[in-house]
Order: sequence, then structure tokens, then C-alpha cells
Amino acid sequence: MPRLGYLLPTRERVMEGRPETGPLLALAEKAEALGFDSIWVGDSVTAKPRHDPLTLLAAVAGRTRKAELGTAVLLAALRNPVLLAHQAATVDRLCEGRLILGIGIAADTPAVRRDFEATGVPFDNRVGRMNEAMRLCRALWTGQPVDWTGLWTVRQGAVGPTPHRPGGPPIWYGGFLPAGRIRTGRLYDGWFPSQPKPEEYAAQFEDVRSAARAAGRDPAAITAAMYVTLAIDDDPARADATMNDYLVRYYRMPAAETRNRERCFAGTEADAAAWIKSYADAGASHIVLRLAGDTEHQLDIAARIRRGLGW
Amino acid sequence: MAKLGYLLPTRERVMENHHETGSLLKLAETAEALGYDSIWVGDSVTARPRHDPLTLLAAVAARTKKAELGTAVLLPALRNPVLLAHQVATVDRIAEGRLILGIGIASDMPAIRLEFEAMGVPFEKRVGRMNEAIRLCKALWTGKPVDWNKLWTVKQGTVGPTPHRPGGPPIWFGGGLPAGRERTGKLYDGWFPNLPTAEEYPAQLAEVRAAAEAAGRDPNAITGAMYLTLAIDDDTKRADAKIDSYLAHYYGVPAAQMRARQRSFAGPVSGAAAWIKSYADAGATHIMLRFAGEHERHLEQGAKIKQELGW
Repeated sequence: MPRLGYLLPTRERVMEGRPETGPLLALAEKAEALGFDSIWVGDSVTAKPRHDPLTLLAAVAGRTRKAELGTAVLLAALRNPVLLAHQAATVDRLCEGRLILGIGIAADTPAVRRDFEATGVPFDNRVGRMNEAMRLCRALWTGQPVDWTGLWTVRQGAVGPTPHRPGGPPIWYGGFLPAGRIRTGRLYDGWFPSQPKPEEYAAQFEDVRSAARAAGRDPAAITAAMYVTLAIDDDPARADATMNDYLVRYYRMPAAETRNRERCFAGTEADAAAWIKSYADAGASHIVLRLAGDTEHQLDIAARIRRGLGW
Repeated sequence: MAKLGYLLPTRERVMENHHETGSLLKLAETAEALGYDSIWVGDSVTARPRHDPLTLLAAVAARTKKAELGTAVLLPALRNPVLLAHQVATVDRIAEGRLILGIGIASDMPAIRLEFEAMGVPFEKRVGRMNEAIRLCKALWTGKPVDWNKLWTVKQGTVGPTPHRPGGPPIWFGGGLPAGRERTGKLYDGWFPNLPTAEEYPAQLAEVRAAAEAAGRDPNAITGAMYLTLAIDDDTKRADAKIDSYLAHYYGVPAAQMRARQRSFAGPVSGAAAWIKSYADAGATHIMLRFAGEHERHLEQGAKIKQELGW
């Protein structure tokens, strides 16, 4: 049975000038009460401002009991890996092992380059930087003293606490290009793209699994996840307008461009259900919904879809 | 009348190999229910491992309503100030303006130097680095685009959300030496030492206020705070043994050395009350208690003292 996740509108709330977190925590509680399997937050420092994901998830952890909590996706390269390992371990303790660390490398845009500059990190080789950072995090999560000489230098360093789950939270990679699929299979615990269409999903996930097999890893241990955006309305034209308006404000570029790059659905509840199900039929076992428009109302509809699918 | 705070035993729990956070959150709830005015956590990444303070406080914020929440003390020089400003703003939103950012520079010891190395930060000039980091945080907390070109480079950068309190949380500096007192008066919102005796406290706080006045700041706007360690036991000898064992275990140096460097009390509850009150009489308006073990019992005794003092 696929798991269904809900992305909290942290970016949207900051854009709307409503940065209070009370309503966001209430949405997280509501999503858990409605039966959503996981609650997610995105990440950006200065490029597309929103709440800091790890502190916000720590608060969500304090208010929820069952739902998994994840980053969709954290830009690991922007952060010092020792501090990241420390913070992720603390959050995984706070949520008692419910954390999923979704990670990604941000697209090459001027704003993202300024994000790297502001956090004092070279933009070049950011993929290698992310991979090494995650290796270092995993070494620190063992709880054993770590010696490391690479992009970072650690001598007999240990952070406390260790994560709740031995070895640390699962790491899902958001890369969708062929190289990203291979990287996921070789290094990470889940594949978490936002680009493939339902009809492309199975073949692309097979790339991930073969890369895992080639690296001597168990392909069945890799989670197939998907990040999708929806605007649900009985009037498909109105759903379309809501989606376009949402994407333009979110990314500050023409909606068509984003809709070409990420999978978005605008239409009726019945069609939304069929579309979500098509990803599950294609092999996705964890689907995260970003809801455009009136998030509270959309959340109710999505919960109804979930029940209707029998998930 | 002074405010009374309580330090959560994050370091102690990691030392005892009890990494789980459920009992820490419960202690925070107990402290708030008992009427403590504030709840605190310390900071160290690899030198003296414990839970990450900002994510832990975010969870405490989600579980409490009234108590102020603070760091005692955070080492800003270890962190990238843009990420720090972002996380602190998010925690202050979750706490709805209850955050106090206690900051310090850590003493010069091999473990601290290794910590700076692991975080990729030069140890030299860590005071200047801290001061500039906090200036940059304050600039970002205005919510206006920031241009910065010194130790860090920011171009038209904003982080979202802004803190709940306009301008950001109050910043208390933990410096116990004369230069630290002057720095507090010139730059910060509170003085938060652990070094002065009650007899020394008024003259030293007067130095802080004089430095504030000389810098054209309102000296009365600066909070006089104090960080105290206690073992309360009717048997003074037993109390003494408890605090010695606690300090030796915590710092890995002889207890006598630590008792010379920071103020601690071992003895019966009446003596503890008089000792705490002596700091309030000396001008401290916010006193934070670190207990040497037995937290539930100590919390109740501290609450009784608070009641008896009419605070």
C-alpha cells in the first residue's frame, strides 16, 4: 500500500507575509489526524525564502506521534556536514526515528548561486560536496569517533546524540537525470524525483535499481518516492488557473516552464485520484503532495482521495 | 523579584548514554508547570557532545506556552551566520517571541580547537567572528535585503521568516572577563555570566552598564542574568560530593578547578534559597539554575524556593 505525504506550505506562507508557525503546526496535526503517512517541508535559505526545515520539523515532531517527517528536499551542500549530522540526529531523536532526509542539489540559477555564496560554500562540485557530506554524516551517525580528511577535517570527532534509528535516517535523493538515478542507486536509500511522468516512472526507477545492483546493494531496499503538485477543483479551468498562479508566484517564472519540468496536476477530484494512483501503479510506494491554492480545503480533498483509494 | 530559569540536562543525558529526548521534553513541561520562567539548553558540537540546541528548543517551543526559551550558551562563531539567522528566526516564530539567544566564545582548549576545525571555522579571532556574525544576523532579522561584504558575502539576501519579535530575540553575552563585560555593554542585550560571586556581581554589572552608557545605549535596557549550578541536599557533605562528582564528570577536570571558575552551591534548601536570593539582591533579574543530577527532585525544590522568595 503506497504511503501518502503532505508538504507544509512554508514557502507560500512566507511569500504571503504570514510567517507565523502556529497555523503550520496546526496543518501538520490535521494532516496526521487525517491519516497522512508523512509530513514534509522544503528548503531554501535566501533564494526562495521559507522557514528553516530542521527546526520546523523539530517542532512538528513535538506535536505529532506517528507520521514520518521529511525534508523535500534539503540542500545538503549548503550546510557544514558535522552540524547537519548533529541537527538531523537530534531531530531524529525528537521524532523517535520518523525522520526521512530528502536531499537535493538545487538547479543552477543566479539566486541559488547567491545562496551558496551567502552560506560560504563554493558552488562548483556541489554534487561531490553533497555526496561527501552525506558520507561524513553517516560516519558520525555511528556514534564512533570519526577521523576524516577530505573537504572537511575531523579528528576523533563524535556528535551526540546518535540518531534514533541505528545508522541514521534514510536518505532519499531528489535527482531525476540519468546521473542522479545512478547516484541514488549507488549511494542512497530512496529515489525522490518530481519530474517523471507516470509512464516514465517504472523505467527510470529500474535505472536506480540496476545501479544499486551493480554497486552490490539490495535494489529492493530502495524506496521509490515521487513529489507531485496538485490543484483540485470541480472546474478544471479554475484548477488550471489556480495552478498557474501558484507556480508563477512560487518560482517567479512562467508557469508553463515549471509545468514542463515538474509534474503538476490540475483537474477534478476523480482525475486527481486516478493520476496519483497511476504513480503507485508505476511502482512509487511513497507519494508526496504539494497542494496549490487553499491548502486546508485541498488537504481535506486529498484525504478523501486517499480513503477512496483504500490506502 | 527575579525570573528563575532551568537548564535541561542535554549534556548529562548524552554522557549517560540516554540519547532519547522524550524525557527531556517532559522535564521542560514539568518546569513550565512548576512556574519556572525560562528553559535553557547548552551548546557544543564535538567538544562536549549533547543535543543540538536550536532543534531541541524548537520542540520545547512546540510543547510549552509561556516559558522563555534560551541557549546557555550558543557558540555563534561555529555557525554560518546566514543559516544561524534563519534557524533562530524560525525558532523564535515557533516560540512566538519567547526566545533568548545566549551566546559565548568557548574557552581555548584542545577539544574546542578540534571543534572549530571540524566546523571548518578558523579559531583565531573567534570573538570578532562572533560579533560580526551577530551583526549580520541582526541585519537579516530586519527582513530587508542585506548586502554584506566582510567575513561573509551576502548580495541582496533575505531569509524568511523574520523573527516574531521585531529586530530578533534579545542577545545575552556570557562573558565573565572585563573585556566581555565591556562587549556586552557596547553590543548586547543581556549579561549572562557564571563567574561572579554575589559580592562581585553589582560592580561588574555596573561596568556593563557604564560601557552601555559610553556607547550611547540605555544601560537599564540591559538584563542582568546569572548562570548557577546547584546540588541541594540537607546533608551538606553529600551535596558537596554530588557537585564534585558532577563537575568532574561533566568537564573531565578536577572539580576544584571548575568550582573556582564558575559559581556553584552545595547544601540544604534554605542555604540554596539564600544564595540564589543574594544574586537577586545584587541586581540579577534572571537567574538560571543548572542542577547536578536528580532533576525531578531538584526542580521541585527550586520551585519551592521560588515560591518562598515570592518570585
